[in-house]
Amino acid sequence: MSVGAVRVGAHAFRGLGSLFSSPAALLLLLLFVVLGFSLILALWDPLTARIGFRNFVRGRRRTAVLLLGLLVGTAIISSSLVIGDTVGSLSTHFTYVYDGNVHEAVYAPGYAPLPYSFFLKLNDSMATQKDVAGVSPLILAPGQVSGIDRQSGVPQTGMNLVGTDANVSQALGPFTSVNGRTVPGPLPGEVLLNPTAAQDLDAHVGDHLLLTGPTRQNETVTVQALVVADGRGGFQDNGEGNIFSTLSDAQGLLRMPGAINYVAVTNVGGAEGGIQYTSTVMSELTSTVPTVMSKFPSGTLPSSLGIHNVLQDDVNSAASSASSLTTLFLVIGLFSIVSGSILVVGIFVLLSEERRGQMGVARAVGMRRRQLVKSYYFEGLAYSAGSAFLGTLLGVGIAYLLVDLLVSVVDTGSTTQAVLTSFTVLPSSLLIAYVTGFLLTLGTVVLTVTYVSRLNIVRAIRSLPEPPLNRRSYLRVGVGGGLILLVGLLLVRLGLPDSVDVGVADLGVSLAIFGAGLIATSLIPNRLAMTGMGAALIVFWGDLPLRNAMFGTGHGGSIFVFFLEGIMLILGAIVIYLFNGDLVMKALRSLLGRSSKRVPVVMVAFTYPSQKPFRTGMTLSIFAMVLFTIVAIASIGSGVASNLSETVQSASGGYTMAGTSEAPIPHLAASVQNNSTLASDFSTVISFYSTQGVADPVSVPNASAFSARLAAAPVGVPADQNFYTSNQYNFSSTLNGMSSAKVWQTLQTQPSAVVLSGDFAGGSRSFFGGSSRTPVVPGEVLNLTVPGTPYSTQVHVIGLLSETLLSVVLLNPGTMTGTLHSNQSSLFLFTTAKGIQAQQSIYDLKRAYFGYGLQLMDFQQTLTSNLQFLVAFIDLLEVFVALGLLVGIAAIGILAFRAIVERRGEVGMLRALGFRRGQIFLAFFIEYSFLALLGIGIGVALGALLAYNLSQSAGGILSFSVPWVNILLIVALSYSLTVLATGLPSYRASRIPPAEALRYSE
Amino acid sequence: MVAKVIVRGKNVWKVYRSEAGDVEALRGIDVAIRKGEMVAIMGPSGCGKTTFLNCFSGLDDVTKGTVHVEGTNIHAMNDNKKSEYRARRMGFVFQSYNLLPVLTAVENVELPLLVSGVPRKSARAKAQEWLRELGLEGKEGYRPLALSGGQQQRVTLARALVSEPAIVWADEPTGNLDAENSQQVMGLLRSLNQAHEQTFIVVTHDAEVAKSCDRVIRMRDGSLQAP
Repeated sequence: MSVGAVRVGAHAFRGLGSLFSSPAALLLLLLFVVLGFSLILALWDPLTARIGFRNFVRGRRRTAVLLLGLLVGTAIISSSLVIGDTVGSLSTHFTYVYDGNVHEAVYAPGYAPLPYSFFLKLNDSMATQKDVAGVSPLILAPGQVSGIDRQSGVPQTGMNLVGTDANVSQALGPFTSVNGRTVPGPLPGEVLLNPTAAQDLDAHVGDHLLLTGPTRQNETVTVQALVVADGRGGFQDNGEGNIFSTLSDAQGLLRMPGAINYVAVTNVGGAEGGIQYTSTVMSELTSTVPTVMSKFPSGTLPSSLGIHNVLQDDVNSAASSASSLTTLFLVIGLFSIVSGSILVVGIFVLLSEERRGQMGVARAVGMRRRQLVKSYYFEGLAYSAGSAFLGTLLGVGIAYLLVDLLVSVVDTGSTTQAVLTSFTVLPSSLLIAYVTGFLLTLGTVVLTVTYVSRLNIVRAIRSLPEPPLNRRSYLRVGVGGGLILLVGLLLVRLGLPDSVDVGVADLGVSLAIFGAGLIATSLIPNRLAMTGMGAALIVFWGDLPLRNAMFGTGHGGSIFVFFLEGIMLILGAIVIYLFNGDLVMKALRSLLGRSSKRVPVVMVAFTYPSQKPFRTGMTLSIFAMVLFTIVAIASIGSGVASNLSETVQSASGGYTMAGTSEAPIPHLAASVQNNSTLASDFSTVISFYSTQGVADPVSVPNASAFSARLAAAPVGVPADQNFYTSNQYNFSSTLNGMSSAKVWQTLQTQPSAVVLSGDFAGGSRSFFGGSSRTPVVPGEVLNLTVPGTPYSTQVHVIGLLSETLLSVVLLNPGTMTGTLHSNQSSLFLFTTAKGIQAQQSIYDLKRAYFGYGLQLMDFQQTLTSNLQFLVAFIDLLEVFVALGLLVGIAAIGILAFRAIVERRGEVGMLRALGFRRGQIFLAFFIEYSFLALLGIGIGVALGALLAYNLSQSAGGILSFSVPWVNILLIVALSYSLTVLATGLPSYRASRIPPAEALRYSE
Repeated sequence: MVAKVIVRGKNVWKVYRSEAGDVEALRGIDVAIRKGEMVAIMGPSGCGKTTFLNCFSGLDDVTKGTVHVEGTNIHAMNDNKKSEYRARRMGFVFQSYNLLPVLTAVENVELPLLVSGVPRKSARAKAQEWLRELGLEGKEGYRPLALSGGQQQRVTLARALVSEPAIVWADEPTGNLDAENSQQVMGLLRSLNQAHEQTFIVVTHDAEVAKSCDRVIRMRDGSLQAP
């Protein structure tokens, strides 16, 4: 799909109201304050304002180059926000489809039946409520119906049944056929199918379907129409397909005569417009429902009824997921934003150095230091305003390209349309991006020029060495270091409880190291103290076992830890280089300068970086940060992809597929063996005793109970059918480090032992942060109950599996059948026979057992499809962070351009001394190549280190795999662009006639 | 015995072209400077002294005319040859020293030797020897900006002389120095000129500096004035 062919939909630039949402309004206010302050300042001191603004417009080309360098941070912020807007808009779009016109709903847990009269009474009570458009009775059976199309012969299990009567559900709106016509009904004995259901059954209008409910009740119906998946036809469809029947037909199929299980409330004003009345209607329902319930005799209604704020909750949830994505992009983009800020600092330091003559004259004629700062402030104001404007627009373009790219790798068809028509740019996002970018740039400029102006101007502009610190200065540094150390230790203390983000403690340790380094400078040589500090930062952040030993493996951290880790690792490396760069240079000079012809070139090339630590550090940091992020993200993508076969192996346990059925299937293994079609398809069929249960972590205070499938494999079966001895599941953790064989043996013999699947072990230090559920750990005690029965038991966890697909608590078989009295099978594992395709056997199994509602999951296909999406998404992030490369290239290009202007006199002198043009070019070329390659090297090495750490902490879902070919390509691209960016100014420097070059220093 | 002519210019013109109009910085200069001579080029500001130095040393091209240095037409050389020639046979001293701020004193001095292909060790030894001779012993590891003006100018002198050039071009070598330091530097130039028989061409507007030289060439509006 080409970008040009895509039209921005009606949603784009919608929501002017959001402009005045609270963060945007606050930023707008801040913008006005800054502009007002600037105006007053300009009126108060028009001379400095004039100087500042004239400096801004002095050279068009230079202004354009600097604007380009300054806009990157804003572009990253803007694109992150617009991506969030689009995903928010898309999620909201799907929410309106999923919830339709149902703003509020009343139903019991598990969709327990309610008498139809409950609806009638509630409808009567709500009739006077002016904010309510209608109350509708429904029957929902999500994922509980199987069907087979008599004409196509295609079976499908786990579909949704929605029972609805057109005459009492008008508030929900009409169905629309795929031809765009309004469809009445559904009619008795007929059903409406949405596109998913129609496709799954290969059904057409007029086909006869045999439907089977969870209690194995059958019913034959005719397809009345195929309806579109809008707010009516897509209602509550999470991808399983909807079958709409009359209430009466649904009652028959589900064996619940005269009952409903869902009362939908629709507000006035349509789906979106009605949300504003939700709180009023919810409060009305909260008082009305108990009154209505009280009119029913005890036992005729479920013990509890939930009143659900359906649409608003889902819209909020959509906004929250969009916000999470914005956060993800912003955090990933933070490296580029920081790089952009460093570039802003660099640009203004260079400008102030370049203007030493102008500054000197200005000071000589009586201008105060404060006025100099003000003139830079006004110039910075103009640059910030211009770059933030351009950056905001560029960000919208970047977001559009990224969304387009994401769509092209993920899907084609209706989702594509939905995404692209949802491409949304909220004015509030533009405002937030603009003001944030503007303030970020201006703030950085103000801090930089204030710092520059505080230096001894003569010393600063002539690059005179700073005088060595005296004892008093060292004392001050030591006291400052002590304070930072204390703050760091305090943060470590605050961050230690597991409930606190581990980033707090990590930041504390980093500050403590920094403070200790500063204290050490007053006791030992600076080189030693700072090298120690840098090394300590790298060891702390790079050595995962050390951090795990300090804070524990279960200590969760948000994605900001990723940013912190990157910044601290790079800071450590740069500090080490800055305090030891002269040694590196010396080594390089003697290594590369062995040939006497190269000596002078190498001497000139390698001396500048070590003598200009600020500029060197700045360039290195920018390159290192960008490459760090690219390598880390590329390695994560590669790790996920290359781990596919291991992931399939560990997630499948050596089995081909898993099955769950709505109704228990007795003796499935024997039944399969006796089926002529299926007998040769499978080598192993394992039926688990299983039931739905609730697990309450009694040994963990304040931990919530959670639902889980309880299961146990039978013992005393042939060895190849024995789950305990033949499965190949891996454990992510076991009690006291027990071996896998020991865990399975213990599970068979010890009644209180349980093993949980990996999805219950949330909260590990994973890349995207921890799970919201309290993580379960080995040794924990759980109270297991089977709802609706008096049976319960207390068990302790002896192991957590790596796999996360089954979502199961595996019990001792005796406990399952004896204590919990669960001896029916609705969970199965299959291994296909050699040469049998999983897809074919799935089809055969579904056909044979569709009456039981058997649903099957092909491990290989599920994992591959999940991982492919994840890898595609990670690739997209990679493209996003690669934008940061622009910062690096811009940085080194601008630095080269300005540095060569500044060093023209020296170029002239070198030429006078006999340097050839080629030698001048080579000297600059080597200098910038060295800086770029060193920065790239630091970034690549630390990015790979982070990837290694992530692979170690990701619980087996990520292997350590750096895509070296891709990385080499990126390095080659970065380096080539650097050569292009620095080559031109270097070439120009080499072409300046010596006499002309010398004039600049005369 | 009369010394050989080392620098000879015939009808040398230099015209700077600009939007404001052409500026004739040198107007048909004819001059001959002999080997071992110490010549001062004097004249008021803007008379073309520095242009004279740039054109006769090969740092800048001429618009018309020829400049022969040691018998070779320097403007007939290509840029690389000219660079090589400067490295081996010429030394330069400028008013603002033009030392590379990131190199130490000894590194600045050894640079011309390294450019000429002298091995590092010999270059370093020779540079140290010259610094010693010019009274800068112990200052070898200092960067230029950590030295006084007089010391920096002596480092510049050492750099100009270290490759034992045939000709040393000095553009206002005392322009940034006080009287005492000026006197010291000129005394040094004079003694080096006598000791090594090198040709010194000193551009100056200072009559005291000119007094130290063997001959004074006066310029006005791009032309030489009769002595």
